[in-house]
Amino acid sequence: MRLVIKRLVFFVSLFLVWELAVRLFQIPAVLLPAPTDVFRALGEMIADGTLFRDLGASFMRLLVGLAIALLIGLLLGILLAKSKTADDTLGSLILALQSIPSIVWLPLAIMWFGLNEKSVIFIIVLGAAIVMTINVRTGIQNVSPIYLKAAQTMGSSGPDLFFRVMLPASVPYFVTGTRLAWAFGWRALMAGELLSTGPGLGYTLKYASDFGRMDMVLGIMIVIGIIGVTVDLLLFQRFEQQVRVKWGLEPSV
Amino acid sequence: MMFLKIDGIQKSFGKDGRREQVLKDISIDVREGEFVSLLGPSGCGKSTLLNIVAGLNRPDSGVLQLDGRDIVKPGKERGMVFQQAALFPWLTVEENVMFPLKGIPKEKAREIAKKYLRLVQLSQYAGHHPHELSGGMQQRVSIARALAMDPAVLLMDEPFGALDEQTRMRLQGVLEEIWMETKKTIIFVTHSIQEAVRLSDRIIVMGTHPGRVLKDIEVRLGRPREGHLKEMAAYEESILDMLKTENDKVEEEERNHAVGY
Repeated sequence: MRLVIKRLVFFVSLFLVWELAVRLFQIPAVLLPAPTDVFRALGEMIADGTLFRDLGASFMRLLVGLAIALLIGLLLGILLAKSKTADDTLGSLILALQSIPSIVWLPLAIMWFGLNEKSVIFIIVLGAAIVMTINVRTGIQNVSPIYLKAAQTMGSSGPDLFFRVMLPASVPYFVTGTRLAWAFGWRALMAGELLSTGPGLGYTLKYASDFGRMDMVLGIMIVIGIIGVTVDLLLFQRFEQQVRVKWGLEPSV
Repeated sequence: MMFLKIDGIQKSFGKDGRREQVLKDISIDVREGEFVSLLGPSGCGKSTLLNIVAGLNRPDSGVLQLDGRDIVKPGKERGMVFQQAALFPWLTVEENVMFPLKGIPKEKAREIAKKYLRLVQLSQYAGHHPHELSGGMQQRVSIARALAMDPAVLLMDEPFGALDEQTRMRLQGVLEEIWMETKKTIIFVTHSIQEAVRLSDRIIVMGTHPGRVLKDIEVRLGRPREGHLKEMAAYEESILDMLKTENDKVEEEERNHAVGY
């Protein structure tokens, strides 16, 4: 409870200082709008329904992209974990790709798919599939040898050992992979929409910026931040923690 | 023909570019229904020997037969309990015990699991997950799991080694009862003289460098052993004396070795 109060006090004072500074130094709204303006703009967007339409469109893209990315990541990760040759060759390529932010693929993606949804989804898939692949691979390679030994003495081997022991034992890594895939996907989505087409949060942000509506820009940024934190902290990290406790990787509290 | 025949087993591992002999000419015959302990200090290869019997390791040479059949890989006729319970955390206690019962109809498998959970007195925890259980309870589930597939031999690799003294003593009692009830052949690895005397019909005392059999001692005491504290103490003392002589030898060897450098 104290934590909530501390945070509440912090954010209220932050907005107060911001508001005061804008008024005191008479900062023009195109440079930095006051928080009251930002919240008014947010209220407008909620009232005329644009915010929810944009959110819906963005989430649709994200879900499609993530679903494809998780499937690819799972299959690729298993391949890399099981085949030394694939890990030595394809694995190095994937590690190299990881250091390229997926958004820089957009020019190519637009040439391939056109200036539309598909390009943005492609960017999401690229960003998210790579982290998922790496986590799945690590998870399967790090299955505790004692589980494998125990299962073998119970007559399990081959595909049975893989599906009944190795895969379930790696679930904590899959969950971490999914959380990171979401984080990468969410960032890629915003960048992609900013540079491509709407409807969507990123697109509306760019639209507002073209009209000098910095109050809307900041409003959307706040929404992006809140959604990012909510999904990551409240959903994924909590779920990840539960899984890790159940899998005996962390002591229960 | 012996039930479990271990004859002339040799095993060495490569270490620092040298071959180190871990097991030298190990021969042990185990009768059906016998409770045999492999007792020895760390490094005597007792766990390696058990892993070889389990089929998880291959010997360099030697004969290994269970009921007349060669042992070449792990199999359900040899159940194993490790020092860590090694329960699968994603399954409930009951599902863990059902793990080796693949191929048996679900309902039948569940019945078998229930039976063995009752044997280790954990029926009421069937629906729990392993992380909700104490170390001693987890180890009991792991014993139930190994027994559920009705193995001909139960191999136990220091199963109580990671538990506190109190739990350890209690589980020794539980295991003795299970053994008296199921009449399983058990091979039990331990470094505790007390534990070996408390549980075994026969104690194979092993020595190090290389791992070898020093002595094969029959423990002729009634069961349950709890009622024979004095006699157990006498056995413990005689084994202790014997190990002391062996220890002196090892120490002298180490001294000579050091001088050699």
